[in-house]
Amino acid sequence: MLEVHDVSKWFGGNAVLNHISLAIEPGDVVGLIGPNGAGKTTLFNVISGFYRTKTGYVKFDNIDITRLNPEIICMLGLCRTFQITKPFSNIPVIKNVMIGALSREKTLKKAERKAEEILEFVGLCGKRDLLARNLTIADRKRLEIARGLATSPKLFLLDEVMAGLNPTELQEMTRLMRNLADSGIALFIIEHIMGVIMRVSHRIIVLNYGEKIAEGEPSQIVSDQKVIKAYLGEEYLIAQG
Amino acid sequence: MKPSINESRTYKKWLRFILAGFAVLFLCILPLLIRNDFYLDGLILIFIWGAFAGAWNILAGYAGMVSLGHNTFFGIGAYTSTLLLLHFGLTPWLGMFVGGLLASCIGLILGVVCFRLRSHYFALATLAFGEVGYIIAVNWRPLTGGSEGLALPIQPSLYNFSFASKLPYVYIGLFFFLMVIGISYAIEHSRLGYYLTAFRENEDAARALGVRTGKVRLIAMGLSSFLSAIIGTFYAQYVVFIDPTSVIRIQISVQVALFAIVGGIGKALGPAIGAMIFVPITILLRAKMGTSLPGLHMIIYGIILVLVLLYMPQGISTSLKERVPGLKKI
Repeated sequence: MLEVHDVSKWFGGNAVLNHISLAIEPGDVVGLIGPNGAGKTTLFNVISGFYRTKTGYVKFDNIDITRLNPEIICMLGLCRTFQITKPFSNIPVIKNVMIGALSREKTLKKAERKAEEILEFVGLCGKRDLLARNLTIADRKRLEIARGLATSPKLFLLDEVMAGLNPTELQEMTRLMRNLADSGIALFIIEHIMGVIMRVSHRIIVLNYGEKIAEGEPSQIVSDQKVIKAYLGEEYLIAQG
Repeated sequence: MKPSINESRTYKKWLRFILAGFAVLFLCILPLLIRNDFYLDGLILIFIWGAFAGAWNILAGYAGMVSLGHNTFFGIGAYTSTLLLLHFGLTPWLGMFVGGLLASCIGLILGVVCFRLRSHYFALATLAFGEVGYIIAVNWRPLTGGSEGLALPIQPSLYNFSFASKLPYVYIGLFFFLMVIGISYAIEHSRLGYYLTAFRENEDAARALGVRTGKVRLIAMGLSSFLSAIIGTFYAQYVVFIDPTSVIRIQISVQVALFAIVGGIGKALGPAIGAMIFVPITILLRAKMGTSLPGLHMIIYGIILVLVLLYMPQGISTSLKERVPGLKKI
């Protein structure tokens, strides 16, 4: 459903993405890992329409979305969250989610009902009427997911929704990810927490300095010498025994 | 969904509806009780400035685009209808819409030109726009009469939008006042309002959720400038004399922004409340101290502004709602 072909992005003279190609099928759960500065978020920005690639193309459901704006891409069913959460701070949580829901629902009432269901799903029910700026980091991450879900995506890009969570919150978030994957939405996940991404993903893509250095099932990835050298580190293998 | 929440919301809705009904009824009867031209004049000015501040608030409050160029839209409304009346004998009732459409066209062009500007930069660009409007009005003498201004014919008739007594003006003003509040309320409770708020709070996040921010921003711009121009026409018809200082100087924009900010920006009733506070102060101070201490009202404005920003940064209407226990239920 998503086809990224030969995508490159430069900032000044730096190649942040260097001829990247990949594909995601319906129902896939794909992890995207790599050291800081590898170009993971940049790739998300290109796919979701915030950046333009210099080469190649991005296709979603066989529609060329390379030059489309984010709002149009969202309407086609491809939504993303932001690594640095961007809540609508001064309005209640429910309204945050309703804004997402309005992309599909005709009336405010229907949007509100949908938003309520989604808040229930992500576990933000009790915070319905809080202003978004009063949420904790974990809840903000949940709100990002809730808002995105409200747009009924077919493919959902999640950018580090686990970062900064404590162990309990991590467990809850992992469960939420599992539920998401079970609901049939294709997921493309950037994550640094290996334990989680290894368990959740069907397939993992590794970026390093803007290049795709590996792609495969989690078990293959952890034993890939290039990945160990670039990202996981020798200690990872030792720790895994 | 819990039924108790739903019930309390319906209750709130009805309570609001009834209170709004009483308020409108009160405003309708009030002019009949006053019977004093001085106070009626005050009432008309409250309606004019309240409506204008409400129109400004649609762009600045909901979309977060603080404009300091709205004096130009107000002036376009005043001059367009007046010139059409003077030169072509066109009734201001129609001239009002011509002015409104002209203002919103210019507003849309301004919106497109300032497409990439955010917050202070947008405010600065519109400040320049407001200043340009004033300079054009002063210097395009053959059309606008320059600083000498234009006097409207005083021939009371419905066609001329001109009346001998103040009462018709009060009710027309009240109509505009309620219309702007109603439009604001409708926006607040519609898809457009949600989208404008999303744009105000975070544009990237809004776009990622499918909000066509460019489009909703232009709608707000067009609507706000249209309404400002209509109020401009009404003002011209009421004071019967317009010159650049009275209808298009930059201070008008600042004043309107002040009313809305103090009253409560981004709320349907905020700008109206701001006007209800400031206009009477201005009129009374001018009447009592106008000769001994001219300009005193400006000092009072400043003091109120500082106090409100210190203690009620979200404006009087929002703060009162949060602090007075009974109001929370509404």
